[in-house]
Amino acid sequence: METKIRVLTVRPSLDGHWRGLAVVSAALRDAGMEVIYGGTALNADEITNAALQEDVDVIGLSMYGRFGIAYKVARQLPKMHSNRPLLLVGGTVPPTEVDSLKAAGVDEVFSAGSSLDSIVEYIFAKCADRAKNE
Amino acid sequence: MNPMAGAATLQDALESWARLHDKEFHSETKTRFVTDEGLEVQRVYTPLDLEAKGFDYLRDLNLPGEYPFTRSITPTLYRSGLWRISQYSGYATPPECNALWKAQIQSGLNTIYIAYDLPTQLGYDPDRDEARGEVGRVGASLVSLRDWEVAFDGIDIDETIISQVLNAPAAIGIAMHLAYARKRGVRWQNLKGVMQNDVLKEYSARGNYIFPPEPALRLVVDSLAFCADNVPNYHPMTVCSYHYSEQGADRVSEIAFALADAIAYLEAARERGVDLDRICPHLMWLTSHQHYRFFDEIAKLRALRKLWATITKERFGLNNPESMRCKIYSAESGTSLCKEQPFNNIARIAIATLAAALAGVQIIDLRTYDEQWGIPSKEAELLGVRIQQIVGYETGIADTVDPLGGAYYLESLVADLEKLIKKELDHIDRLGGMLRAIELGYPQRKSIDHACQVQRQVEDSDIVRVGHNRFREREDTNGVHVYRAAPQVEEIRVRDVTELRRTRDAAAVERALDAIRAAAAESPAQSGNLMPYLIEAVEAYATCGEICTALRQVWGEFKEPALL
Repeated sequence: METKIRVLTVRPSLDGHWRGLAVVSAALRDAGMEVIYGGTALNADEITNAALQEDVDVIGLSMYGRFGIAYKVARQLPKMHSNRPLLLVGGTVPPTEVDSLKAAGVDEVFSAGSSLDSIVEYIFAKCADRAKNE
Repeated sequence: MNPMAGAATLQDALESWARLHDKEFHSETKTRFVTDEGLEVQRVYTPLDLEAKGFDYLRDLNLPGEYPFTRSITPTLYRSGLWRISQYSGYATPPECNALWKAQIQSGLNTIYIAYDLPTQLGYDPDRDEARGEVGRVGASLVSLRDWEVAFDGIDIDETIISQVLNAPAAIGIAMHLAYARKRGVRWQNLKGVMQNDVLKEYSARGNYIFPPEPALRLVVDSLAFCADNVPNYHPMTVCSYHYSEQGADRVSEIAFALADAIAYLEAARERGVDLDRICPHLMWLTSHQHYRFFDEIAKLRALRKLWATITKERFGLNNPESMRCKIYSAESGTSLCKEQPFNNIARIAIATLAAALAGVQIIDLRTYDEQWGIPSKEAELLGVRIQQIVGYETGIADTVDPLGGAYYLESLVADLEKLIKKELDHIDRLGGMLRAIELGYPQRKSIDHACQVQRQVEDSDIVRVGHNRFREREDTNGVHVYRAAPQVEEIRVRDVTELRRTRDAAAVERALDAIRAAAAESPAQSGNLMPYLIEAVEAYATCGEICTALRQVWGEFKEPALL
């Protein structure tokens, strides 16, 4: 039996709006992934630990600021375990931040206007690549 | 021979017309035209459609300023002065706010609409860990009476409407406004202000709650009762439909959920023995409007006015006509604007302004063309003010009250929406009221389900967004200047609050916070209204964060439920 791709989705900010994260989470679930909806989490350790405990393949962060948390999670991940989860960021991300996030180890940034299909396809493609390389 | 000639009735004429043009009807681009709420849009509307819906001019529409206020809450509307122009804004530090708001008043704005940063909205002072990275990030960090003294220096506070978006700590924001007025020697009777104090929708749509619902409702009722008695021109509550819409709800849910929240507030106040005819005249509504599905938007706001009048009169048995008048503060929906080709948004904003004006609202607030890129730039905000002035002063729509009133299409939409909204309200009643519905996650799920559906429709181009899913160009940002709070603002604000704590009378602050804790621990019947305690603490220069901490110690915090 094929195992489901596991995704942890988190809002690492004080911003209460959950529409973006909820819609993306629902789309990933509809595409057959298992989504662990983490809600609000304000520090990087909490996110990294949850990802480790839940043994997820993907971490999705919904952000409009407080990007420091994404950088910190990116730094922590390689130390975590060999099969490092994909780290994705979505939300209102300024163009200048996109490049530095990617340079710091964020695998992809889906800023406002990205389609659900592009997110789903990206995750499937990356996870398939990894399975091949294992 | 003209086949239309000799048609005895409108019905006959319609039938002949349909026979005559049958071929042309086949050229229509869709077999069905439907609204987001699933209502079928007909080819044409005539008096027969209103007749079929049992439309009664005096009962359903009546004249402006007359019950049920479908056309307008006043008999003269904009003939007695344009709507109030508002622009939601706030920069990180008190001196920056002062400069911004003075510039806005200079440009002809007559309201200050304070956007607070998230730490302030959540009751965290700038030096708390929880606030790190978010101080001044999306709005003003104004946490003490001292900050108000800087931010409002030189601003005529008895001439300017001061609106605030605070919600969970709203009662503290009102206390700041009142304490500051007293310090400036401005009589409370002269103060004009509006407070977004709608905590219920924080649990169900916006996510910025602090306390559990029960004590949160106590603060709401306290602030409503206190202001009704002491600050007659103040609106201590805007009931919000806006955030339901932004969260994804369709128009029926948007209005029904907000009405259900308002019903819950009135029930809570009645339980405390507050005379509802005393507080209702001080309620406002914060609605959404957008260019998208223009007529549905106008119909939605007119249906709200009519339903609120009916609910106050029939459900609550109120007698004061002022209680039945639904005063609308309408804010443009940010999600209706696009990131691509951002200057296209200027057209969207102008059309949205027209929708709000044709719906006869009291205050209009707009988003800015750079909305999808970040916090608005000063240029974009000023442009928003100018757009309102152009719609208000150049088009002529302010010359007559409710120019669209009686239009067959519009009134059909109002009747259909009204029916659906009533049905949704009945459903919420059956669930046990809005508090129970929120506990069950009902409004939350319903909004997100519709948001998912809309996202699909946008991705499939069933909903057209020019520049986003049609008429795209290569990456085109047209040189939007994205506003960023300066990185040092956090440090500045931490220094400000440290300096405040060093220089104020620490013993007086402690006494005031102790009194708040003691009063909050008792029931409302024992300790009465909490507002005087809050005002006293603010006057002693206690911060918003310190007061929230004191209340947290007594009431605890609301924990985010699992929604998915």
